Amino acid sequence: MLMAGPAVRVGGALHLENAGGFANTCDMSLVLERERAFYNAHQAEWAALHPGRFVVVKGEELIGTYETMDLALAAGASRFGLDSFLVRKLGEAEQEIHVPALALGLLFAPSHGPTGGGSSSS
Amino acid sequence: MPHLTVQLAAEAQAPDGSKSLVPPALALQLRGPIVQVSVGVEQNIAQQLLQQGLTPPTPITGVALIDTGASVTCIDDAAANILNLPAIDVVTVASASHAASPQNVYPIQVDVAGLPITISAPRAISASLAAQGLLLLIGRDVLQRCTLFYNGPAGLFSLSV
Repeated sequence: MLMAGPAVRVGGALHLENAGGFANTCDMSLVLERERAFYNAHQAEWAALHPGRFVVVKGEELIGTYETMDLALAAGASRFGLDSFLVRKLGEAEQEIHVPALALGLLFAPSHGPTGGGSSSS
Repeated sequence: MPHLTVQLAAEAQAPDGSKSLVPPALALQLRGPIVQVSVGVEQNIAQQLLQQGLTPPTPITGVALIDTGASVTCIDDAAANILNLPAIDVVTVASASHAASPQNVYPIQVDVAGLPITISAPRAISASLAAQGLLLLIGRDVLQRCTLFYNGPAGLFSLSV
């Protein structure tokens, strides 16, 4: 068993029951489903009117457009508190997400380098 | 520029139960560049809650791995639920072992122990990290505002923001 900690204190990791990587146990596609459908239906017209601005959408309502992400988050939270609301930047293509360590299950994978230390640790 | 230098200390346990120190270079290779962090709801949202007389969720502390391979920061999904974070989007993430899966996007703020500033990550992706002993993967969306120096032979790394 290897226990590691940096010079500044590191520890206190959460021990929450979970699966590995990006495997899901709940259907997250249902989150913000109406908002995303509404956004997809209207994004072209909104982008023409407000290029580069951030939109806040709740249900099937455009709450507003904002100059920055900070302002959009503040506007959404002022209306909906900790309820979910959609925030997107108009005219921006959907970002491609790359997290190879999770996608490939490589987080803390054993190594077989010259030191041989990783393969015998658990 | 606020600056944090970390050198990992580690010990290995033999089958007979005895423990021995391992060199910092090996500790860093095995554990990676990890830091203690506190994660809470993004500060613009927290300010709005306070203005409404509401108390923002208490931040959660844990371990973050600095992952230069990750294009975005990831937060443990169970921790996101505990923090009651509002989802602000859903993105699809491809995986080698599972079908492409939708993941919630959460606005968070991160305090790194030893750094006197708060880092905003307004679009952190949910992922199952707790099983790895992690609360957070710090990705390149945060690192684009940082300087990271990784000294493998010395078993230390520096993070400046």
